[in-house]
Amino acid sequence: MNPFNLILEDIVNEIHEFNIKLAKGYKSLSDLGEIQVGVSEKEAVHQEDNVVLYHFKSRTKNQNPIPLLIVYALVNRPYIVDLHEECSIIQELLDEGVDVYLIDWGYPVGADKYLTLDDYINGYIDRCVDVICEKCNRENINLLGICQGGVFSLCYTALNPKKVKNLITTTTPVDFHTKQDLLSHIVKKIDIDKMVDTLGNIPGEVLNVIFLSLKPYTLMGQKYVSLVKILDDKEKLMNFMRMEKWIFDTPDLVGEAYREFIKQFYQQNRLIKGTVKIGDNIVDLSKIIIPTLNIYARDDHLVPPDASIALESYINSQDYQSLEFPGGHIGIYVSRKVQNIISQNVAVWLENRN
Amino acid sequence: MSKKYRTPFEDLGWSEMQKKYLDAFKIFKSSESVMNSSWVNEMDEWWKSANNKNSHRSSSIFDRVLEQANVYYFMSEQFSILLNEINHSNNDEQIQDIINKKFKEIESYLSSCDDSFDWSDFLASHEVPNDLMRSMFDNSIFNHIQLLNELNPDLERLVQEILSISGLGYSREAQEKLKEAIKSWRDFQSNFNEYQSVMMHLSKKGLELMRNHIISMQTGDESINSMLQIYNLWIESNEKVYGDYVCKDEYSELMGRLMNSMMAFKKKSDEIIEDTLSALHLPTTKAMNELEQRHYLLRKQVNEMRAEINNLKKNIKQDNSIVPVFKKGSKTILRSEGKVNKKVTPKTSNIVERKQVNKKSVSNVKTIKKKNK
Repeated sequence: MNPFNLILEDIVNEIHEFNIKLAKGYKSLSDLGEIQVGVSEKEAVHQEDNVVLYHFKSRTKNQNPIPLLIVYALVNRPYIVDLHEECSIIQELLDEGVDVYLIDWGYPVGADKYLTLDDYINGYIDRCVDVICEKCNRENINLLGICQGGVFSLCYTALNPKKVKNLITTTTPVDFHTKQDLLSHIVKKIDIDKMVDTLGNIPGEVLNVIFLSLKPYTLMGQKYVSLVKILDDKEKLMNFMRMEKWIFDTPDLVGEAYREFIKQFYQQNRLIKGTVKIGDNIVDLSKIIIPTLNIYARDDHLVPPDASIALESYINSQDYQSLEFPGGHIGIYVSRKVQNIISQNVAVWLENRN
Repeated sequence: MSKKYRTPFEDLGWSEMQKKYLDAFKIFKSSESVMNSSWVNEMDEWWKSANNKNSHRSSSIFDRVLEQANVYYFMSEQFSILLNEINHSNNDEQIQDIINKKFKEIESYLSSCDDSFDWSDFLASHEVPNDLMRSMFDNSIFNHIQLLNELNPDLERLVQEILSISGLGYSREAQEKLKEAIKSWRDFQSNFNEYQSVMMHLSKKGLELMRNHIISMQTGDESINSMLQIYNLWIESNEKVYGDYVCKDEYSELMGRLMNSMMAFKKKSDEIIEDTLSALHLPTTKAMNELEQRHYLLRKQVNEMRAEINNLKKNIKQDNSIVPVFKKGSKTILRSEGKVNKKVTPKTSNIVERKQVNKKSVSNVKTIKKKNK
C-alpha cells in the first residue's frame, strides 16, 4: 500500500501556501512594533546592586494579610510571570487577593562574579524578606520559588524557618539525579572549576544553547516552521515574539554562584543528602516543617516531575501538598488555563493557612 | 514616523513566479540529483533582496524562519520526486524500493555536505558547539577551523614535530605558552570533529527511523497526508534518536571532553593575550579580577556593617520601650515606656533572643574597634 495519501500537486500547493504566508509574514513582523513585556503596575521597594525588589499594586479590596515573595531563577528574566495582560500569573494572583512581591535579579556585571550562593540566599533574599516584614509589620512571609528560585527558597526556608510562614515551590528540582534529568546528565563530566576559572561569569548564551540542546530539532527547527502558520495572526505572532524575547533574554550567570550550584546540586546531588553548604551553614531539608505546596509540570523536560516530587520524602512538613499541571516547564506562564488553576489553588491554599 | 515598511514582495509576485516555476518543474523534473534545491535558491535570492532593502530588528527572527524554511523546501523537493516515482510504480515491493533509494540519496547528501546547501541548518544540533564558541571567542577563529580540518597527514606530522621542539632564548616561556595553546586548540578541534561526526551519525539514524516508520505505514492504517506531516515526522525521528543518545554516558563524556577542551584552549589563549596586554601596560583580566574581588569583599563588609547598624537600632528601640527593672526568682518586673510597673511572666525565648542580639552587638563593637586601630 502507498503510505502517501497525497499527490505531487498537493505538495506544490502546500509549498505555495507556505510561501504566501512567509512573504506576508515579513510584513507582519516588520509591523509588529515594540515587544512589550511586564504589564502589571509595580513599585520598586528595595534595591541593592542590580537586585530590585518589586511590590505589585493590589487589584482587590480584600487582600491576604501575609505577603507572598516570588523568588525567580538566576537564569532568564522574571517578566515571564507577567508577560502580558492575557498571560500574567502575577495578575491572576493579585486578582485572587494575594499581596505579591518579586525579586528581579537584574543583569550581573563583571564585578558580581564573586557572589556566592550565600550572598544570594542569606544576603539578597534575606534582606528582601526583612524589608517586606518591616513594611508589613510581620515576622514572617509566604515564599514562592520558581525553578532555581525554588531551590533557593528551600535552602532559605531550611536555614531561616521562622521567617517563612508557608512555602510554595514551582517546577523545582530537588533530586538532581533522576533518570530523566538531562541537564544533570549533560553537565556530569564538565569541569565546572575550569569553566568558571576561565570565563568568570558564564555567558547567558552558553546556558541558552545548553537548554536548547535538550530538544534541538524542535526548539531550533520545527518551532520556526510552525511559526509560518501564525504569521498572519497578529495576536498569536506577538505572543510568539514575547516568548522568543524571553527565551533569548538570558543574563550572564554569576561565576561563583554557578560553580557552587552546578557542583553541589547538579553534579553531587547534595540537596537530598543534606550536605549542601551555603556559606557556613549546612542545608537540612528535614528542618522544613511549615506547610509546603509543591507545583510541578507533567511534561517538564528541564525539571522532570520525579525530580520535583522527591521533595515530599526529604522535608518534615505535616502539611505537604503537591499539584501537577499539564504542560512543560514554561507551560505555567503561557497557558491561561493553567495559570488560572495554579493561581486559584495557590490563593486558596494560602488563605487556608493564614 | 510610520513604522510600516514596504517589502518588494507585498504583491506576492515572487510567490506567483515560484508557482509557475513549480508547474514547469513538475513537467521537466527528472530523477537527477536536486542538491541545488530550486525552492531554497529562490528563497535565498528573495531574502537577499528583501533584507537589503529593510534593515529591521525582525530580520534575525526571519533569518531563523528562512533557515528552517530551506530545510522544509529541500525535503519538499526530495519527497516530490519520491511521490512522482511512487505514482508510476505498480506494487508494494516497488514502492519500498523507491523509498529506500530516496532515503539513501538523502543520506548521501548528508555525508557529502555539498557547499550548495548548508547542512548545519538541516542539523540544528550541529550548531551547539559553534554557538558556544561564538559566545566566547572572536569570530576570526572560525576561519581557522576549516583550515586545520584540511591539514593533510604530512603537514599534521610536521606540526606535531614542531610542537615537540623545546623553546629557546629569552622568549622561551612565551614560545612554550604558544605551543601549549596550539596543543589545546588541536585537542579541542579533535573533540569538535568527534562531536560533529556523532551528530552526523545521529542524523542518519534519524533518517533511518523515519524511513522505517514510513515503510511500516504500508501495512498499517496510518498514512501521510501533507508535506508538513513529513517534515514533522523527520523532526520527531531525529529528536527520538538524539534524545536516546543524550541519555547515554557516552554523550555526557563527549560533551565533557568538548567543553573541557574548549575551556582549556580559551584559558591558554587568554594567557597569551594577557601577557601581551601586560607588556603594553594595559589593564589585564587578572588585574581586573583582583579589583573586582576587592570590590566584592568591600560590598560584603558594607552589608555586614549595615546589618550590625540595623541590629543596634533595633536594640536601642527595644531598650527604649521595655526596660527590665529587676529580676526576682522566675519573675521579671518590666517597665513599659516608663509608665506602669507590671508583673509579667517572662517569655524565656524573648529574653534569650535579646541576650543574643546584645551579645552580637558587643562583638560587633569589638570588630569595629579593631578596624579603627
